[in-house]
Amino acid sequence: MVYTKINLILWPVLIIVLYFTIPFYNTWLFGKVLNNNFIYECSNMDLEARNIERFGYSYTVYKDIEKTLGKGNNVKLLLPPNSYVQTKKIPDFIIPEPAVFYYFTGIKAVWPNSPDAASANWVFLAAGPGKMAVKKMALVHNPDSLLADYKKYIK
Amino acid sequence: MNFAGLFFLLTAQYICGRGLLRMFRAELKPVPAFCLSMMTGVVLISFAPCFLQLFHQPIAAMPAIISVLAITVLMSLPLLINFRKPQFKIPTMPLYYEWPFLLACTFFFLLAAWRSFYYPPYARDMLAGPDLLAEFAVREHNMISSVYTIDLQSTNNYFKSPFITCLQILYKLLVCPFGQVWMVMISIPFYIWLYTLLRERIHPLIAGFLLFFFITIPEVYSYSYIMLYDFDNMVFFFSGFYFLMRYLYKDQQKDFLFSAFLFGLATYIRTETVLMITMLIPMLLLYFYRNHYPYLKMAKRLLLFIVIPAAFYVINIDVFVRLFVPLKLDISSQVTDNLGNFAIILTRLRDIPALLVFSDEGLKLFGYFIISFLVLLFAETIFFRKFNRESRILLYGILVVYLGLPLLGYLIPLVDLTNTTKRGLFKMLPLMLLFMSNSNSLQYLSGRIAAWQQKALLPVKPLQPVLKPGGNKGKEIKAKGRNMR
Repeated sequence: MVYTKINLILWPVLIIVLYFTIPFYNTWLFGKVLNNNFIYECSNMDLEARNIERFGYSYTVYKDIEKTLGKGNNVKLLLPPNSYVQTKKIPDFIIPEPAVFYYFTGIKAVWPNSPDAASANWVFLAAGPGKMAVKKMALVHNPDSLLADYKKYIK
Repeated sequence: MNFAGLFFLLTAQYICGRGLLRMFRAELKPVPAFCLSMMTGVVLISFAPCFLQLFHQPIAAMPAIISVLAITVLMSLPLLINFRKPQFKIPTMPLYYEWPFLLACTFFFLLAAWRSFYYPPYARDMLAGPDLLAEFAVREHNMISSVYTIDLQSTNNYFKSPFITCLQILYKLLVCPFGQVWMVMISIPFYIWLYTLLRERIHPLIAGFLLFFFITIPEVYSYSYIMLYDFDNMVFFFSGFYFLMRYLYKDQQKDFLFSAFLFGLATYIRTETVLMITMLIPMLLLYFYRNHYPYLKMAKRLLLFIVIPAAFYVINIDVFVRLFVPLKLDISSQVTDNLGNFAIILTRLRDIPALLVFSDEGLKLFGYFIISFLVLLFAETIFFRKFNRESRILLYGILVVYLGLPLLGYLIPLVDLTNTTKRGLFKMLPLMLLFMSNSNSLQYLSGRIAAWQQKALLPVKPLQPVLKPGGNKGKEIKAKGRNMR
């Protein structure tokens, strides 16, 4: 009887072990499920750290922009297309859509193909190899040409 | 995390859900009753911020608490009116051999709970939609916030159901800054309820494995903690379908009404669901016809079955979206203007199996779950050639989802294959799971395990089945169950 009871407990254990030896489930378990670093996560409960953990380098850039521009209602930032950023070789950085940018920063933004693009008073542009910066539109030499240049990158 | 706030919301959810079950006189065992109370309660308290907005009250912690309390008091009325002395029974503990699978499942539950708490909402549809709206509603104390003054041309997610927005508002105000933990308040009770359903049908060992197999569907597991509409939609579509199935068995009006109400909740979460609910009507008609329903009764039932989910659709689109979104919703622009192009239905019918099931991508999404179901279905068709009634109803449900999704893609061009259709397939997975538990192959295996167990554990004096004079198979199974313990 004891043997049967042990048998009944061991069968499910064996099935679970065998289940995760199937290559697909093994990869999933170790690649997607057991990839939490709980020690790191428990010692980094700060909201910003959790956001950075989730959204990566892009999030720190959004926050830098927020610090630079503040949350004034009078700011409207022209965002470049993602393909423009890729040609400037800025790794791990994604330009979000205006709604998502507003979610992270509280700053209004527009895309170059937006009907309001011309009303943007700040612009996010390349400032040398691998660098991006925000600049007042008033200081841009030829805003129309910049806008036209951005539009070229829209697929 | 504010544990007091969490406790308050959990209690409110439970009372609301319990009140709802009493209102529909749903007779369930303690564990399923608890699980369904928690699941439905989440949706009921989600209306709280909507009421605040309707009555022009600020979106803040204290008004939110009062609003939740008001809903809870209202929903507890059925409990108070039909007051019964509560019975505090000690729940039956799982048998010793159920623990390995249950512990493995618990590990996945805890991990989902941790991830929903620790990480911020991630899905793009949420960041450009419900979570954006919730975040600024909390900051500006109004659901009609500054979000509507920004460039929203790249998204239409603000037109979706306020279900997630409202829950995010409540949880951000009362529990934790990222909200989102309410996801596991739906997913964990749902999984536990599924287990009780499986266990009623098949040997606990196989039930444990099937639940484990279901939990480890990669895409479904991800969405048990990543906030989006589809997991919750699956939960309430399945719940509605389950009670519809009960109605088809027991012919009790209360099950029928509760089913329609649960389908209504599914429609409230994703409005397109109403199409699939309509596709269930032929099955109902057949049932009415076979049971010789009078025409008037038939018409009344059909009307109720359509009107209740449609009412949720109207509340969603014509009340909440119209009042809370200061932009014009043009539904006609979302519906195709090329109704003659049926090719898209055929293409979708081909692409769903080709790209979402029998492909590397399909494997990544659903593991071997759908393939196993198909293998089992094939074996049933070839070797057993017999499906019980529940299996036939479930197969009809699966077919409705499989045909309904291409139809949606045909009617609404925004319903694409790789996102909406892919996640829409979730709705058929619990149906497949229940079908598996009903399959003759697994029932046979279940019987073999039970027989072996009985023989091994009680070799000398087996219990005689307790039979009623007329014979009662149910009692016989119970007697075997006692033996197993």
